[in-house]
Amino acid sequence: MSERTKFVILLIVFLLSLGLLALLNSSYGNVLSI
Amino acid sequence: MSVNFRVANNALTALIVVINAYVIAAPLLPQASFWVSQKYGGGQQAVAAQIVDRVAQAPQLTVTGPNKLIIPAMLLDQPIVEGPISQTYANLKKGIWRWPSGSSPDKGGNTVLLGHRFTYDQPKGSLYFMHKLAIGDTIALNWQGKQHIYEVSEIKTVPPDQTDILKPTADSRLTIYTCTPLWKPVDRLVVVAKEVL
Repeated sequence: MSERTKFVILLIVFLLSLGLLALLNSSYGNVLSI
Repeated sequence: MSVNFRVANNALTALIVVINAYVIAAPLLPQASFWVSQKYGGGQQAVAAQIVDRVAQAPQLTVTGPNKLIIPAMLLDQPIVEGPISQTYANLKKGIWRWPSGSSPDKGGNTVLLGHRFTYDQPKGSLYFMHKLAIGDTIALNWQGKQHIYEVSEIKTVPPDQTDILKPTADSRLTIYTCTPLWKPVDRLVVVAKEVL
């Protein structure tokens, strides 16, 4: 696997991780879940 | 070019590890700090003792400063946030919020307080340690220059749509609630404390 392909995969995983963090934080912060 | 990708890949891998480690560990960080302080510091017990002394010495006496909630069992001593329901999210970000449609300690009835237990941007929410409360624990509420003392009489978990906990009551009580469980906040942990002084 080339370094370029690894970079694309890692970038996707990184963005998914950020998305997960944002999603979890919003679910803890809404009114229903205090 | 390959070297540049390699450096970027290492940096991305490190960031991914850090972010996911935080996602997993953040809910436990306040508990860990509490445990470390208890085991090695001794400071938490001293703080709790001071709060208990203050509560014991000043029931129904005139107090100064902002309206605040004091719960020795949770090492909690925080001001109470006032604000409209339309700004629920902003109010809860500031701390423990008094439900404006509920009563207040000077009027008797059901005074409702709520707060975050955990959020990823503020892992130690105001009510993070609410599970440490037990039946019979003392709660003090400084309200408009007077200290009201309550005793925990009921602890229960209810679904989010069970809104009868907000209803007015004939007796003077405090209803405090937050989300539970810590990892998946689908229910509400409710503590009811009746006024004793």
